[in-house]
Amino acid sequence: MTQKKPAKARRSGWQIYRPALALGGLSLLGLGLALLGDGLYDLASWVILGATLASMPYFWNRPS
Amino acid sequence: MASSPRSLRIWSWLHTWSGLACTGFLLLLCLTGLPLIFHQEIDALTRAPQRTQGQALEHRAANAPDLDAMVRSALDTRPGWKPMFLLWDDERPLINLVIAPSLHAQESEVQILPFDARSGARLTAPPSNEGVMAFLLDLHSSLLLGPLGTYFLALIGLLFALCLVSGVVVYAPFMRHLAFGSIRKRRSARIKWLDGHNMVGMVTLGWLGVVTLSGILLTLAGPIQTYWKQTELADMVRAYKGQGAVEQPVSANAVHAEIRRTLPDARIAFIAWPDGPASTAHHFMVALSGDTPLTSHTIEAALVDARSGRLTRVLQSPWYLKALFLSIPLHFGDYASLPLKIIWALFDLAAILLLGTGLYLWGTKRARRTRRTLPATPHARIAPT
Repeated sequence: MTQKKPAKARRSGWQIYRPALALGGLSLLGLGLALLGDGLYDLASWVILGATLASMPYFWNRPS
Repeated sequence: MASSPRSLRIWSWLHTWSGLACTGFLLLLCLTGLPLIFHQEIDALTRAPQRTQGQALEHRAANAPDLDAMVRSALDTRPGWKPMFLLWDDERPLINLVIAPSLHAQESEVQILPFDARSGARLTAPPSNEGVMAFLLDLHSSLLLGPLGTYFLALIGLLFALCLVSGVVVYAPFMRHLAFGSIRKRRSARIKWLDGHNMVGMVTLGWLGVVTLSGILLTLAGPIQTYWKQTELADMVRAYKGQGAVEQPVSANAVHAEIRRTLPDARIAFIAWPDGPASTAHHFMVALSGDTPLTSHTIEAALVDARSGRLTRVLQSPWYLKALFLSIPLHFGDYASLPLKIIWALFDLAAILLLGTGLYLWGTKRARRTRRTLPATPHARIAPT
C-alpha cells in the first residue's frame, strides 16, 4: 500500500494577506513617524523601516 | 479577490502587461532616484564650499540681507529679465534668486543664483539647476521632455499602481498552501524567483505604494497649482477687476518688511513675484512654512498687495495642496537624516530587484510557451535523450 502524502492546509484570504497587511502597516507607520517629529520619532522610523527591510533577507535565508 | 479562474486570468493579464509597460521607465526612475536620495550629501561634496558652511537661518524676518540689492545685482547681468522667486534654503544659510526672461518662462529657461543669506553676497557656487544632479532630477521628473514628459510619467505611475493592485490580487492563489515569505529553493529557478518576487513585492508594498502615489501627485503639481489659483485665489483676483497689471510693484525689501511687521514669527520659505506661476497679477505671494516637523513641509500663502505693499490675506493650504507638499519628502525620503536615506536607497534597490525578477518571470514563461508551441524538428526527434 502506498503511503498518501498529507494534504497541505488551504489558507484563507485573511491568513494569506495578514502578514502582508502587517508589514504594509509597519511601513506606513515608519514613514509617518519621521514626518511627525524629530529625535525619537526619527529613531522609531529607522527601526521600523529597517526591520521591514531586514525581513527580506530573513525570508530568503529561512529554510524552505 | 480573484474568485473565479476567469477573473484570475484577467487580473494576471493586467499584472503582466501593466508591469511590462512601465518596467523600463521604472528602472530608469529607480536608478536616477538613487543618487537623488543623497542629493544634499552629493551637493556638499561637489559644490563650492560656501554652499555648505554654517547653519540655515531661522528664516525669521530679522537679520535679512538687502533683497533688492540681490535682485539688482542679478538683473544687472541679465538686462530685461524678471525676478520670479526668492527661495530660502531649508538647511543652509542660502537664498536662491530665480530670474527668467519672462514671468511665464519654462523651467529650462530660468536661472537660479545663490546668495549668502547672512550678507547678501553673491556666491560663486554653480546654480543648483545646472550640473549632474540637476540633469538627473530633470531626467527623473520629466525624462528631459518638459511638461509632456512629466504627464507621461504620471501615466507610468498610474500603470504601476495598477500593477501593484493586480499583484496583490494574483498573490493569493500562489500562497494558498505556502507560508508568508516562503522561498522554494529546491524547486526550479523559476519557482524560486517567483517566490522571491512575491516576497519582495509584499514586503515593499507599503513603501512602493507611498512612493508611487507621491510620485503621481508630484507629476500633477502644475495642474494642482493652476487649480488652486483658479479657485482659492479667484476671490482675491475679482476684487481687482478692471485694474491693469502692476507696472511698478513694491520692492522685495518692502514685502519682507511687511511680513516682519505683521507676522514676526513667520518662517519664510519663498517670495513669489506678482503675475508669476505662484501668485496673482496683483500680489506677491509669500510662502510661510510651519515650525513643527510636519508643518515645515507645508506652507501657508501670505498675499501682499503689489501696489501698496500691505498684507492682504493669509490663506491656509487646501488638502490637495498639503498632500502635494507632503509628497516631496515622502517621494525622496530626505526628511529624517542619513539613516532614512540609506533605508530609502535599500528599498529602491529592492524595487529594482522586484522589477528585474518580474522581467525574468515573464521571459521564462514566454520561452516555455514558445518551446511548447514549436513543432518538434527532425533534429530534436533524433536527439539522444
